[in-house]
Amino acid sequence: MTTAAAEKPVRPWGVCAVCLLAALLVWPTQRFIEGRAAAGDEDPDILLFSSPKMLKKMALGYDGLAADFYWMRTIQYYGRFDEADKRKVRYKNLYALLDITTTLDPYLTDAYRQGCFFLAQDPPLGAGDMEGALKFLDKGLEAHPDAWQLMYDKGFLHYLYTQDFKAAGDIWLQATKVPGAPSWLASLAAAALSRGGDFQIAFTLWQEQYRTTTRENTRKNARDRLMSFQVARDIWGWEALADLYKERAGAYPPTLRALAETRGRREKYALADPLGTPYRYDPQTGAVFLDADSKVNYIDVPGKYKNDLVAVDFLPGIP
Amino acid sequence: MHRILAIAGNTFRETVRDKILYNLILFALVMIFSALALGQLSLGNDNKVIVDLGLGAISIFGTMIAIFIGIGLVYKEIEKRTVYALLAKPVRRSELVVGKYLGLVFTLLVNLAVMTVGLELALWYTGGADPMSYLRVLAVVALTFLSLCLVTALALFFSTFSTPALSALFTLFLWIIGHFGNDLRNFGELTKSEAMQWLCRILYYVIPNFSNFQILDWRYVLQPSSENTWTIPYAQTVDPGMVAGVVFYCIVYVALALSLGIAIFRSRDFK
Repeated sequence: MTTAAAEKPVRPWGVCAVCLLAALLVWPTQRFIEGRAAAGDEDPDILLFSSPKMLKKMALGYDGLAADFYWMRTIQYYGRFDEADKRKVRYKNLYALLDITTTLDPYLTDAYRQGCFFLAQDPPLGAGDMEGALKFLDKGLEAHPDAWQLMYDKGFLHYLYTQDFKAAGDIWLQATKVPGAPSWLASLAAAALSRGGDFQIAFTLWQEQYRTTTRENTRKNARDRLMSFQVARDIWGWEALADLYKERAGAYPPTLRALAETRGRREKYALADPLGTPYRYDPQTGAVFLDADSKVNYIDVPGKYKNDLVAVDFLPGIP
Repeated sequence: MHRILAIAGNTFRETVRDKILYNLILFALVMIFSALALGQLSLGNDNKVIVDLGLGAISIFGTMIAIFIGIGLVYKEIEKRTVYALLAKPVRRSELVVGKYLGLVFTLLVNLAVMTVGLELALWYTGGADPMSYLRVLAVVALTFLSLCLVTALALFFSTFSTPALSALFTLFLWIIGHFGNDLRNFGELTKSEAMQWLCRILYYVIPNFSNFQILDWRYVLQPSSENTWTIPYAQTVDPGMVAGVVFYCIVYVALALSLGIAIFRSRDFK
């Protein structure tokens, strides 16, 4: 007669030791695998399905849900700059992802409104694909012919990115004819068509976006743009005054503060950036620039605005 | 009727003891609440993600419950030979099938209620949805419930003559193909063969069209606020005639599937 082998009781410390050992081994092993995978994989962001229509069929009616996942994937694809830095082409799949998202759910209109800016902004902030951005907005307008908001965005891109003021004015004018469109679009269209290139319009556009958007990243971008206008105005203004000083005194002033005091009246330019970090000044060249510790995310302001920007008496602050 | 209700009650008690049911509900609730975290990755579309994911989870997991429990309802009775004891009593075979069906439908109703409460709580937690949204969710869930009634009828029909594995496959395939009804019809119209056109037309009407139950989505639940002029209008309205048509469609198909199931079950020899 055979008897069952006697089982030893499970020792808790033994289980703990096994778990600890596994935890110690898993982490470096996973890191090792990731390292190998990253080295061998040129572009980890492969689009397994590139046909939006096929994906729509495969979604089995859960199109909205599938669109949400693609939208979130698009945001991750766009927003993770560390990952984008690793790619050969930063935003190669951005248009395809946005196209899939909006084909799956044409009513996810935020994808049009934000996606066009993801596409249009110059690298490294965006894909620098203005053609794609405009094509994408046209797709949105085909699905929503009465969406003055998309027309506004299209004009915005034309005005601020391609500097095609006539195209911007025309599309804003077209938007005014849509029922429910705000009345200020008409004055915007008129201003673009008559005073295209005026920095005041650009400033007003960013202000409007900053004021009206409900999206945090869009608001941040608008805020950065507005602050950049203020910084550019201060820097260009101080530099012009320093040049004037040199013409009279034969040398640049030793400090910005000295320059400000010499003038004997309160200057319209600030000594510190909008977030409070004082500007740096080089007394040898008279150049003024942002401090390395400045918290302002400066985005280049076109040089053509220089004269108008320096001359303006007051630039509204950003809350 | 009394006998049918007694069987339905027993079926309900039997199904709520099934562990697979709790696993599926738990998983669905986890998915619904995960929408709270996922929504934050959507740049301001939190409520859309919650509604889409919630309604999707309710529909998909409801379908899984309907299939995996529905396929075993009759088969288990035959396999365990408890059907002999049942049929020895003054119970008609048709009453047994209908009772089983109603029992599972009631189980599904309770499950859907639990999952809907989960979805409403997630929606309430994020805020921002107007009070009517909570009621409109119920309308979409009601349509989902109708589609589950149909899936249950199909699963039960297959379980009257097939093994659970095959029944599950048949039902799942029908459910998937049922979402391609319009493509089937369009495909038929594109072919030049008369016979093919007829075949596609017949299949279009024979295979239940599950896209009929997806006529309402997040746009109906989350009606845009008129205060925010920056929102592009997207509201979806309900066509009462269409809803009535969907309800009638469901009744017809369920009646057909149950009648066929009863006919097969009655013709089976258990001696």
